[in-house]
Amino acid sequence: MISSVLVLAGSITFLVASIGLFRFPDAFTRLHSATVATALGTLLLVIGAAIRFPNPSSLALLAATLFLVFLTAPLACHAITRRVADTQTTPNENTSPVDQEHEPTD
Amino acid sequence: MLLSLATIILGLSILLVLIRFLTARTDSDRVIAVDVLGFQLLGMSILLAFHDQRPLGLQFAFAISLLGFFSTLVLSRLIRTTDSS
Repeated sequence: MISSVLVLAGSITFLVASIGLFRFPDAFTRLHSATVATALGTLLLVIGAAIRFPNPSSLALLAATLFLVFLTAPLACHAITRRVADTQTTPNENTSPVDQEHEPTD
Repeated sequence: MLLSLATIILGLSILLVLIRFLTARTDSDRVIAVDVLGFQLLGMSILLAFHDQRPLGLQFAFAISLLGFFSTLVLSRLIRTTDSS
């Protein structure tokens, strides 16, 4: 029962992430929606599956999946952000100029 | 009941991301959409394990989490930096 509720919460989080791809104004904020919300949704789904399948092999697989997602989601987000920042993309005008003061270094 | 509702909601969000992929104006938006789509397929394979009552779908989830990272890295290298139109 509680695993179903967790899985439902994870699905709603994924739905919020995909709505955010339409609603956010520029590519940087869309990356925020794409990375943060999907990491949270994956966490909820994995916890729900760990409650539903408590045998050791499933728990090891789920722990490895969660470790990989939490290790690689920020890396993928950073890779996309570097390329988007290299294009002539202008950020939204509501972005604070303090955020753009520091020249990015590789 | 809750599982069916979760599957419907996740399928709806996959449909939304596919619409976003088709209507995006820049390459970076398409790469972001593919990134989100990989995570949603991971969630869908976990839901497959729930529906089958077997933990086989968890192995699919593990493979998809690895594949999604590499595909995002490769696709982010393909964004054109000189002409964004």
